[in-house]
Amino acid sequence: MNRRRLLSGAAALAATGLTGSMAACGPGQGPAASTPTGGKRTALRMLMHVAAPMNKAIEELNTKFTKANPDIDVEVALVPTAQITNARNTRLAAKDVDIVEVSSFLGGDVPGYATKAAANPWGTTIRAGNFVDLTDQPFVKRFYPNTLEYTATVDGKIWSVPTGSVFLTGVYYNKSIFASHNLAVPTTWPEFVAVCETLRAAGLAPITIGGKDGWPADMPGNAMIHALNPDLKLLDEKLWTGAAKLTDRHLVEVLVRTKQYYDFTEKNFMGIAYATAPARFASGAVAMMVDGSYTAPTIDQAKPAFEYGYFPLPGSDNAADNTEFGGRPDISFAVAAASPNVEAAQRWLDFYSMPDNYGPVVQATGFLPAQDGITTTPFADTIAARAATMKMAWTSVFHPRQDAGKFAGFPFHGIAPRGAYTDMSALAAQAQTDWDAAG
Amino acid sequence: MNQSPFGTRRTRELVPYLGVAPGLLIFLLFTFLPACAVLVFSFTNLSGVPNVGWEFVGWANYERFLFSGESAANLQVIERTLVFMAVLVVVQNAVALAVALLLNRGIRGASFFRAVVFLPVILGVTVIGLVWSLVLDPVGGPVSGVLNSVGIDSALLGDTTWGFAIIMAIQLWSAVGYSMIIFLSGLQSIPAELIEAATADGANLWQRFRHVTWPLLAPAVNANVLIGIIGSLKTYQLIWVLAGGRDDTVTLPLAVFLRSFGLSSDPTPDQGFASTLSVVQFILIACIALPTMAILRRREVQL
Repeated sequence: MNRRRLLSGAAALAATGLTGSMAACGPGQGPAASTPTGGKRTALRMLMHVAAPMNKAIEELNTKFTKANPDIDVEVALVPTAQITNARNTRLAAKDVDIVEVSSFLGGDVPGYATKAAANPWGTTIRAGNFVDLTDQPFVKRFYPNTLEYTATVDGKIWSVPTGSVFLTGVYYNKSIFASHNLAVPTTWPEFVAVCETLRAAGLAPITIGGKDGWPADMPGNAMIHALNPDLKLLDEKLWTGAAKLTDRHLVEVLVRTKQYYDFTEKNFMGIAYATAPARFASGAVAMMVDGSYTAPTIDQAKPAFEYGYFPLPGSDNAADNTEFGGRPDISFAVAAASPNVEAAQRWLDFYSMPDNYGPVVQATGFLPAQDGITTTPFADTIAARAATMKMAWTSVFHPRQDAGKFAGFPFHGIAPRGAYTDMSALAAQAQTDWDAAG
Repeated sequence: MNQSPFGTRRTRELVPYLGVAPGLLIFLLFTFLPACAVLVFSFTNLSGVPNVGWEFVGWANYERFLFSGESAANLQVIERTLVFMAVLVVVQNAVALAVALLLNRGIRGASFFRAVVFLPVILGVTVIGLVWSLVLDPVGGPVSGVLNSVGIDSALLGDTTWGFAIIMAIQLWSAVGYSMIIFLSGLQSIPAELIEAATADGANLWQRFRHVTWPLLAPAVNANVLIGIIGSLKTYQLIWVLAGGRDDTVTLPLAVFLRSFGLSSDPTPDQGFASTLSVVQFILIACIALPTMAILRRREVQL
């Protein structure tokens, strides 16, 4: 049966991850080997997803760590992003890992009004006793309290240490193209539309999206929800309690403006792979692209021949609603409760969170730092000041309804050319029908 | 007295079973028992999160699949899976048979063409996905260039109307060599005398194919049809690589993969429901493959 194949595939993948590990130890330096002073060596096992800049930064950090702690080696197993959840669960169950990558816990619970939402997997995972409580560790105090609260806290205790935050609702723009057409950074939706119309009239493709993978084409829509709704948590609650309907005029407007955005996007964007979209922007073929702030290092790798900037997608007519970015904390690191090396793992977290070691990780990844006094990349510097006012993005706030139809929520995949709908009121009506179908 | 070098009658009876035992043990341990476990898990709320208990939930997962708000979307997935299967089984075998018949006529460079048609079979799914993604890139890809020159404009793999058809075509291209080899070996096992006799009796090309080749090719046809049905109902890798699990291209096996690995739009770890999808997939394969097998066996011709 296919399920079995998948499981054996996961095991094989975990094994591949092991062989591809960036082990800091050389031959003869495994767990059984001894330190220069004759003590017993510890091999710390880490699990992360494949993300080249982050992986390289951690590899360099581990080299420094082993130099400072000659009795500890760190072996990092890398798995593709798609496999991280299964690999983590499998290796936690096998007691075969010490430090694991986790994502935001979001408090660990689903609010009471979201009666038919799936349980928050992190609350379940943490309450089952899989991770070590880090609340009293002095190193957690090095991070911003609000980041810790967003990402690392369940039941009032801290279970992980963060990496940094990313913005998800920003637009990368080509400063050269903007300058040559005398365009200013738009601060309202009509201004944004005017910018797109000017560029199109000049024969340029205003925007690109890596639409082939589906989800990247949701990003402008999610940014639109963010700009058009000042309180996203309240919107989530109202949708669940029925106080707001997806057919309400201001919610239909989210779909209408997303459709407008698609209309300004270069033709056939649904065939462009997400992996190639940053290179397309860097080539100067298009003027703008909505993407996470984490994409800046990828754009830099393509060495664009122009300067670029990043502004919040101005989905609202009111400039004051368009000043804040929506985002989320990126991955964190937790210690497996079943680990025989808890003390060594905590030494690693302590070492990692020291400003001198944490700084290079933030710089390599382009994340916005979660500590004071960290020098970031020149790009991140331009937006880092806005991290203090970052609101959690819609994707982290919204509780999708289980057992509902496929258009329940904000169905950006139904908008032409992604889907068949050109009438956004009809799509909104279908969205509400599918939402109610869960009963 | 029995002085057989192969031991007593009793040991001779036991030895074959000993030979089968390792394979049987591996099959039981790694195929049969996990398959049974999947069936059991499909009636539970197993999350897959370590140290979290699970309990039996009866038919709840099946009701969710068939009779909840999401069932309309699930039935669309099954419909798409059946289209995928039907198109691949019919078109792939037709193409493979045509190529095999051509190559079997001893045309010049037959082994070269045979190798070319078979080549995609040895390529990995990722390689195929990457090559075709480049070829079908709507921005500057060669196919797009040709289509544009004749006035056709399409996002190709990203096109919600044609994307799935293109994926099926690529799947066909990648697997047709395998079917062709089976047909070719079937054709080569047909005694030349029978064809010659039919020719001597005045049978034309079509009559020779219809009344001699086709009946004698039955074992190869049967093998290909069954491999095609089961294979297409289990294939998800190429669809995943080419379209990234996009809503309009998901088939049932891909849905199992997405759900098992927490990659669907609802990423909650839910191995119980993933097991249910897997059982539905198993039932679908059994319902189609077993009757087909029975029908096909009946028309096999013994020489």
